[in-house]
Amino acid sequence: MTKFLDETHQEDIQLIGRIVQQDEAALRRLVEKYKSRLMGLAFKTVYSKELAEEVVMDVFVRVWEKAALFNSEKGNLRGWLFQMTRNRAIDYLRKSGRRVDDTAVGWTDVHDNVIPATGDDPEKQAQQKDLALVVQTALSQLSEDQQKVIGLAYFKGLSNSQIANETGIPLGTVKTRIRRGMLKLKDFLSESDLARLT
Amino acid sequence: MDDQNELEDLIASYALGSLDDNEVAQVEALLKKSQVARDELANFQQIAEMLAVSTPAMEPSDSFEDRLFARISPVAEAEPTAAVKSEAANKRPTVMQPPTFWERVSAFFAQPRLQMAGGFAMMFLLFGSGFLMMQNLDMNRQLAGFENVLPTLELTAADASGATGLVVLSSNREHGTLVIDGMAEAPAGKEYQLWLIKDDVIEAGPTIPNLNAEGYGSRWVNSEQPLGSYDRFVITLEPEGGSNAPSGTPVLKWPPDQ
Repeated sequence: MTKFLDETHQEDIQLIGRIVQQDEAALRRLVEKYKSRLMGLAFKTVYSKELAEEVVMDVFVRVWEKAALFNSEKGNLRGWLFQMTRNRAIDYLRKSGRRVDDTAVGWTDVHDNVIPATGDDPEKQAQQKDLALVVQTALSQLSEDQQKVIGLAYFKGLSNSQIANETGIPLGTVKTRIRRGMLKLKDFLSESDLARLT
Repeated sequence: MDDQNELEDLIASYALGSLDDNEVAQVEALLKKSQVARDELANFQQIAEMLAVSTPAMEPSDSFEDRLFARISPVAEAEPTAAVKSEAANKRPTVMQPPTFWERVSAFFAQPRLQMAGGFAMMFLLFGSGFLMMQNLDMNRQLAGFENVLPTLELTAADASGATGLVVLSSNREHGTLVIDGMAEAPAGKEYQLWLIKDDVIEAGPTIPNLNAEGYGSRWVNSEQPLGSYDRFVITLEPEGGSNAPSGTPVLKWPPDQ
């Protein structure tokens, strides 16, 4: 597993270096490698395939234009892509003016629907799928209330106050549920699971 | 519970980005002074990234990559499908050489706004020529030589650099666009500049900054007189921002024998 992660990380570093030099082939490889995962993340937020495509396209355009801003010492490329995708998707969601209730997706609806991303060999796909299943299993350990507030905060970009308003849950309870839920996830996920993200 | 404990409780929300601005400022102040808080944040940030991993992958539509690469590089050739390649090959005029440069010019004018402008220009030509055909056969004969394409003037390198340039005139020859390719990188503090010459009077044209790594760039040319009326075009290296009169030696010129 470590070898796989090292290879993935090293490839990402090489790709971003070539993209800084405006190497289209490198961007094509990056797109092939991450488009499906970023689509999944964007879809989880905007709940529209068309909008998710717009989000992911914006992200790759930004990578093309701003690759030099990526600092591998501050984090891995995947985390950077996830962060940009999430932020952009939340922007789209806010601009769309749709109520969060209309776009909410429960955690449970994805548990049996993990599709490995394309662009990697079967071994890597299996490892990615395995990691996704580990995370989803961890999520299933949370109470529904904890899942809900964490999902609204992370995927829908709502502040704690907005979550309180949307759900009618007292603000203090929202904060507590988020913290306890995150601590439970941290306890459930092993060091080796977390290490897969580094 | 004291204030610090309350703030520590907010670190999970901070990692999810769900705090209000004033709470963000408070947590960031805590992070500056507390290693424990920073360690906890690092853990929660990993958890947050795990949440992204938990979402199921989804394939974008088949046209996604074509649209993406058309968007990031409107003047560069996106990898076309086999059908598009075949169609392009059929449409490519035999005079277009070298292919990379011309394909870029073609891609440049394939931009929606230029297509629209081209469409209007073509409509103008069609209606105009039809009207004139009915009124004056002699005028129609002149228009027949005009062809249904935007007229172009090809600039050639004044030395063996291999650089090329093209002035694409608008349908009424009043204005146009300068496209250059294969230019050597301009030295620091220098830019390429176009000069328009008519009856030995030299008029300063635009500079062409921001060439890409392959020495490609383009610029709209809005001249004092109809662009198609000038006798010569020359491009020289000038101080950044452009000069009032050419100070560098010609790099590109039209016509080639001048």
